[in-house]
Amino acid sequence: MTGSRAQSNPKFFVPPCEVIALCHCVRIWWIGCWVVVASMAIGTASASCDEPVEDEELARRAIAILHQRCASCHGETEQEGELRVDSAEHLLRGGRRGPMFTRDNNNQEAATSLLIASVDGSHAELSMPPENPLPSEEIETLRRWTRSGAVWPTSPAQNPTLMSGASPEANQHFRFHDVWQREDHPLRRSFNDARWEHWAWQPRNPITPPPVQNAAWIMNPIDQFLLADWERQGLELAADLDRRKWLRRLTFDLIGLPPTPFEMDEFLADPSEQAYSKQIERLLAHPGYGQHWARMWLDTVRYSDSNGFDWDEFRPQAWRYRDYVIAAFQNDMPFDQFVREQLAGDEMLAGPPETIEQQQGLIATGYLRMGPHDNAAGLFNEQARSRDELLTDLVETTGSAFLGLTLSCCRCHDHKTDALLQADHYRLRAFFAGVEFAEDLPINLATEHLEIEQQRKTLQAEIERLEKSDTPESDETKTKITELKSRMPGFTYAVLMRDQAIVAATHVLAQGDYRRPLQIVEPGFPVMWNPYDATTASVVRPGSSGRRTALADWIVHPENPLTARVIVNRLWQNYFGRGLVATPNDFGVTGEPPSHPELLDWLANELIAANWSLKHIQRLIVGSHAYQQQAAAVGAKGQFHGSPFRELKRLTAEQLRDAVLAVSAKLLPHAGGAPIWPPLPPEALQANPALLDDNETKTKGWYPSPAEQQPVRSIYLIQKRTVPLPLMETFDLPDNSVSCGCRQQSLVAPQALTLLNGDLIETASVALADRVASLTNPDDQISELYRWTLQRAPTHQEMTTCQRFIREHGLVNLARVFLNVNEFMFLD
Amino acid sequence: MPTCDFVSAANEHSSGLAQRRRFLQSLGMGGFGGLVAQVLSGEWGRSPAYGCERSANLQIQNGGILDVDNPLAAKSPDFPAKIRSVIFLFLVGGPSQIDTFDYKPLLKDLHGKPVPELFKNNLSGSKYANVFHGCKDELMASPYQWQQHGQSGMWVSELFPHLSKHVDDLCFIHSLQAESNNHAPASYQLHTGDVRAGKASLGSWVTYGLGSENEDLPGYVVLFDAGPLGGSSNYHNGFLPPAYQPTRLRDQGPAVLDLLPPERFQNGQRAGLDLINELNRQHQAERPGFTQLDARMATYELAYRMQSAGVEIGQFQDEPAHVHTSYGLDHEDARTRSFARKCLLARRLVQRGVRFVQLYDMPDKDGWDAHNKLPDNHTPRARWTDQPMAALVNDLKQSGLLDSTLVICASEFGRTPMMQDHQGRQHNAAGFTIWLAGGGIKPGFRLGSTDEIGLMATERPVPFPDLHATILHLLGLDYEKLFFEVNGRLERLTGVAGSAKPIQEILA
Repeated sequence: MTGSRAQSNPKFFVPPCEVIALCHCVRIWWIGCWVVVASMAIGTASASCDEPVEDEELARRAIAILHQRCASCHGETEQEGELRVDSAEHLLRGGRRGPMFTRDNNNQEAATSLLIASVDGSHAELSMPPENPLPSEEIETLRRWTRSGAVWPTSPAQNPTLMSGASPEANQHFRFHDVWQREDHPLRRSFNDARWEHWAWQPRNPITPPPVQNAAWIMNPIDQFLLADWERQGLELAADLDRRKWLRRLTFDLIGLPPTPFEMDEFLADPSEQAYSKQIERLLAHPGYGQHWARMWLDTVRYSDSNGFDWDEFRPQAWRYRDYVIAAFQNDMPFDQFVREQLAGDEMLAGPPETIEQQQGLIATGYLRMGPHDNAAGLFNEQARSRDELLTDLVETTGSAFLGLTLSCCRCHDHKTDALLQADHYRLRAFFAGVEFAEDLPINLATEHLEIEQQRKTLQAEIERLEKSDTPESDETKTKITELKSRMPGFTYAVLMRDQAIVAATHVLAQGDYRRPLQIVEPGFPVMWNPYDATTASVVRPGSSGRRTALADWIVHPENPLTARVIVNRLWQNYFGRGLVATPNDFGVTGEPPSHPELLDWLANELIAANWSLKHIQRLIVGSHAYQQQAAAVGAKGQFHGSPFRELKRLTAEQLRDAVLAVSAKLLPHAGGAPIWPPLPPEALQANPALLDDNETKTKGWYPSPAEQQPVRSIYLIQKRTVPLPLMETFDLPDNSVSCGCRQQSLVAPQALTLLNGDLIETASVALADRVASLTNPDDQISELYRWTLQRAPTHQEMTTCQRFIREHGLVNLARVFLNVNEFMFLD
Repeated sequence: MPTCDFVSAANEHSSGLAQRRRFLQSLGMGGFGGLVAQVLSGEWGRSPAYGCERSANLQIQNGGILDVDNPLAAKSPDFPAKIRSVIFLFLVGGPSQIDTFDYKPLLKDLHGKPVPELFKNNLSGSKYANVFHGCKDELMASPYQWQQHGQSGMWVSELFPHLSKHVDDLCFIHSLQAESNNHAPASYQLHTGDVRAGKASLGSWVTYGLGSENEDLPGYVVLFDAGPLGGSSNYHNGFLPPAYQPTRLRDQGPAVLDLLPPERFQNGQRAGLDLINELNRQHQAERPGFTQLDARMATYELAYRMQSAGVEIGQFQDEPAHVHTSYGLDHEDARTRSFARKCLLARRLVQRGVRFVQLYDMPDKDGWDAHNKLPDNHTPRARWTDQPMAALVNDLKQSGLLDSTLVICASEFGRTPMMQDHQGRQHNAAGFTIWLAGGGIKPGFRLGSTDEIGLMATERPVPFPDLHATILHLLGLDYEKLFFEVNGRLERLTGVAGSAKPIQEILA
């Protein structure tokens, strides 16, 4: 399976570098641009890929001038004098007064041209633009441009919405049929290859699970897809796990913790046919489920409790978004609703939320705020950079998280491998163009809201009355005023986003540089599916553009080929260690192709059919026979056994810490709310000098929580951007500046040092020893240690070894050993 | 550009060996040196199945010869290297070039006067227009005395009496430019090539490309009291595998956090390790073929060995008395002593084959960020750093290590000639000075210049990517071939655009 997949991996058919470089340059100049300049441009393509050649830059500037200064009267909507200036063809054809310029045989411009004459004052009748003559440097730019051949280097970004106006199919076009037949489709013009045939862009079709020989083995359709593949390859099946190991695997996978000895005993003693499914249902309903699974999503959306950059200020309300995600998983919120709320929860409300659900929807827009934010940019007049970073982050994260699309390449140029134009990046950016931070937007329920307003008004009136009284300066009055102020009820806030009343235009940016705006684009979906402008949604929120709602609706449209595939793949990956698509944030051409495309599509279809229930998919996965199998080992034929597990899974940083706390009876059952700040060693506390520059308003500091609050689930620990917690970082907590679709795992010596010598293990070893110390017999103590940490009984030989160890080094030392062994650290 | 990389990778990819390598690479195995290769020899190849296939290009990198079994194993460079190690001295906060190494006598005449239109126009017509933001339109001459030094006649202000004795070993670039005028973004760019957080730092790139020559010590070390502005995103491994993350060492006591067992476990440490090993072996016997189990066992043995290496590295008492004195280990100022310990530690690390030492001068919350009363800021800071830096250069030279080591001293930007507040200076990303010394660098040389008031680089402006390209080049790495695939994009330290070039003029 893996071998053939690897061989067919298109990544390795990438041509040599020079070829890529050449192709790309040629494409910038030629494909998608105007035939008239093609032959010349090929001849000049020699610079390296992304370096702007001077001529191209000149052309971009000239075209920008034409767009800004002339196109309102001589463009798409109006053609005064029958002239358009928005393409080289139109200029060459000209208007009533004839061509704006001509080209000789060598594509060299004639010395004079109507274009230049009409703007530089040399024409007898024309003086354009009529009211605001061009500044001399702009005239000079146009003159240089026409003299050098008036190259119109239309990368498609220059003219992305060839199909101007709204799409006849509104926003619901995901197939290629009609427009793709047109030679003038922007993508056809741009990419002289078949990259739109890539599997991930294709619609999903209904899938029937394939037939298998060994039908008795099948527990649900997932097994059919896998077994059919293994039977085709002639693979032996890997054996099933025993019950103990299965429950250990399942419990860690569903709630991120090991099973307790009592849970294990109950399961082992359950003779019923439903024994397995009872455990699955118990764990899916367990409060640990949301706490464990939310982490996957928080990685994906680069969750952080702080801003990052110099000051890395604490975001005291970010936890509301974290708790929203936990609750969404716990309650199995339909995934389409989850997406909609995160992208546009605010647009669903006309005013203050009426219900808790609506309030949650508002909090969900914290998604839009989770990226890094340079709060100091304004001090150095770099707000434009900061704004650009915000919008770039939103496009890239939304692409990665919901769609598995890599949109960073096409920020600067057309995508080199995927069917994505530079314009696509900015058409998607336009959906977010209206966003602004909504720090002052209360989340209180409408009833509460009214009440608070009333109270504030009453108190305010009373204060004003006192201030205007005869004795405003008397101690008595002052005391009274202070007292009244202290009773002033406040609103509750969260980290939110909303739209500004006026949405700024979105420009394509030359080379992705915010200082070099090119032409304006409207919101639009990737051109490969829909080259028209998007229709913005009409939303109930006054003043909101409806753009993000339109985007959300498109993302969760049942025909969107990506969304459902991407999320079921994330689920699969978290169980089996590797996704059906091994690159969960990249479903494009450079990503890995799916190992089982039909299974992926079947799961995606199943998700939508089940009203986007993630628990439904997870129930199928853990209820499959495949999920009961051992990790693959090599069989008699020198091949792997058939099993979706290739390796033993190492515990994640969170699973490790939570398991250590759980087995040592320290873990607090429940939490939520503001994050818990662990105490840090002084050296870690200095990891950002901002920590030394704290005060009440800056919130740059480190504020350790009381000791008794510390042992919470790891998801509730503070997650600053510039000060990672040493323990979590050592065990591969990813950087939270960008979306992480899949954690890289390391096995490094500092991990051993942490688990041998660190505080966590020392405290836990003492507590774990305490837990079993009440048993007077050392054999019982040892057995109990095994039951808690490894969920099994010791072998005879292990018993003897451990007895000797206790005699020489004591129970605490032995407890430490159990928190270090591979059997504790890996799942079968 | 050799085209065979892709071809060899394609061929190798389908082999069992490559699959095993990809698997191991996805584990990011190795830590301080890994040791995994020997443990695994004779293992049957396995398919990639663990962690994500974020990249399959470790084979591509270095023409397919990279030993991914052991990511930190020392690797051959692409072409003969000039240097083996790098010590990056980072003076956090933006020291003023016009008060240290960039002599501008004209400022004396213009002191207290507005900025002449010529300079102002040049700046406002550039992308550095915002450098003016927050400043007074009033120039301020350097409050320090200047003198020429050495054979090269380098101008150095009185702030650096020790370092000025070694100017003939240093190479100054007076025309660096950063892409942001704010600390964190500019600092991120100097470390990672991007003003945004989340990319891989220079030290991670270098250890990714070359591994480390000492298995008992980390290949990439960071040293500081309070760290750079913008925190760990500066020196993070970013998207590179965790094997290339930095290790922060202390300059006093045990070098690494959790290096030694707490008192309770001290006596049972070896016995505990033996029992862990024994139980691990039994566990593994029932699970043959899972290499990650071997790998994790190896990390425990390595951790044990590190306990001695990690203590030894900080044993400054092994150094002769004159070394203590020259660095300033016995200086009357505690902050000088602290920086001296870091500089000496850097030398000891490099001597033991550590690849990259990132050393910050940041004893407090401000660093060199002198928005107000510049002399109150710069004078003591120069006192804390001057003697140790000079001793480091001299010590490396005397011991011959300077030939194989690059020392760089830089900051995220410089400062304006315009006054801010009272005798302060604003950030200046438009032109500032750094110095380099060591193998492959022209000694006693200066490149580029700012305008006559030190406001903006006018001659030979140098962007950070060119500096990065130069460092990789000296290490024998082809900076175009050193990349890592992230979401289908080939990320490079020098940027995806491919426009960076080594600074040829300063290469010896």
